[in-house]
Amino acid sequence: MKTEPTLEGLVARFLEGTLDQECLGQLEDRLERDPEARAYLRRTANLDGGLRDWAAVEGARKAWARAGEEGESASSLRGGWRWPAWPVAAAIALGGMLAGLSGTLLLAKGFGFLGAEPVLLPVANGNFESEPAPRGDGLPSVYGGWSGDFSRVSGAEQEVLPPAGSKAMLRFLRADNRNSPPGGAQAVSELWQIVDLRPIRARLGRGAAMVELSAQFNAARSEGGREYHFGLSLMAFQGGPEKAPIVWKHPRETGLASISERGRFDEDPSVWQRSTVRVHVPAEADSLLMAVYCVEGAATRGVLTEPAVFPGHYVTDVSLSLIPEPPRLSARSHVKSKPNP
Amino acid sequence: MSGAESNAYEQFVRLLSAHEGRLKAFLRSFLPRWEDVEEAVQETSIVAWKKFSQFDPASDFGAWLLTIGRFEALKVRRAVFGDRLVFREALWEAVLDEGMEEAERLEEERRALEGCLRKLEPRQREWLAAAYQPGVKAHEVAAASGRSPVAFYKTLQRLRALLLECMQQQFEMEGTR
Repeated sequence: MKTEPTLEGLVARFLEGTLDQECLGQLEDRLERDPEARAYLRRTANLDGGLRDWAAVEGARKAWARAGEEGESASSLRGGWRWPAWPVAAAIALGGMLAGLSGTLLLAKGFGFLGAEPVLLPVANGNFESEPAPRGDGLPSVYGGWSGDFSRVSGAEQEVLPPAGSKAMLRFLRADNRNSPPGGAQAVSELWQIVDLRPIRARLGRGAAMVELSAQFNAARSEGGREYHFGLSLMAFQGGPEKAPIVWKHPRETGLASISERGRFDEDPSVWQRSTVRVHVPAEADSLLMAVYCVEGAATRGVLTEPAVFPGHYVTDVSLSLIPEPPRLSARSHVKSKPNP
Repeated sequence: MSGAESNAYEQFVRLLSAHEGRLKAFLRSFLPRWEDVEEAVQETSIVAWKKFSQFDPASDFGAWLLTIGRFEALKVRRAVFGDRLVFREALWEAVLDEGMEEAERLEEERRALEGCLRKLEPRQREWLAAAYQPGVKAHEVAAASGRSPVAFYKTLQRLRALLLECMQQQFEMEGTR
């Protein structure tokens, strides 16, 4: 004799996605005639969603714990672990759709905040295609928007084309800005943006969040044998934009977490070099100061007598992702002294 | 991004964060596959942001979000399922309407989940965490645990029933305070 499936069993299989057409009909019959059955379905679905979120966070916590035990370190600029391409691509696509509407790169796969997928955090004008253009005023004093050393937005020039899917790129021009003290010999051209983490504090508060900053760099062919580097920095701190100057100068003492990494420009202007850094962001962080930068190699030799000028060095496609669940664990945040504070 | 846009964005993100659980719970009750819930949530969020300038701050953001979610879920349903593995139209409507009325209660119950999980044995929590990991199927966990699928499902079912009861009790206790 065939046993009638229980409502509980039918609902469980419905939520698991394993219900066949015949059993779906049985479930529908039960639901149609019984409001209590419908209420049961809603409550069980609610529990199911809650358990999925909880389990994702539990998985992240365990992964972090394993990382701590294993002491792995892989703060590489390139290579290493990356999220599978599809959620990131979906996130970028969604961000792009919204950027077209608002000039803001927004959110991500699953619209972020949900589940343990990488979430694109808001980077204002990450592809430099929108207004306003980055300002040459030094460190920004407000959330959102680029400010830093002298730079300009450009299209294709000097054999360097914007990467596929982009129309614009930012060219680093000089290593100083309108507020730089006179007579300096800076070697680093930087561009900063401050991101407000408070709207996503709940996600940070679960103790397993990591933030990843990514950008693409390129350079025209250089003459005179000079060597240039590109780099990314991320600093998490308490407080708002007013704290950024002190955090930038003294990240170890005043920041909660920070990382800065460099790579060397290659000699091929047809290839964009992607750079990525990740940092573990403590739950109490209010803001992130992120920087993309370019370094004149002479800085390390101490031969500069005035701010460095950059003849053809570019950045674009800057994105920032929150990673609730790390992989096999890879990146460990660390601080590196900046070459040109 | 202008200052006004930045403020609107921040406000939107805050509201969305506060109501995401309610939206997910609402969508989950009639979309059988989790990835479809995520897609509907994503589409709902996009539409909500596009229309955010029309939202009246004096009204209930959660209810407004659910109204959008209702339409987006219908689109997902039609695009993904056709007529397969989703409820008949009339039932669909009933589940949607009742779900909107009940969304606040479900959100309250969901908030109680963490406390209820703490009442379980560590081993029981481990089971649940394994069974609900993203991308994992319960029958795979059953196989990995070395137990028969029937025994595993029974245990899962029992744990879910315990949690549901606990969540309901917590909700009712909150209501009497």
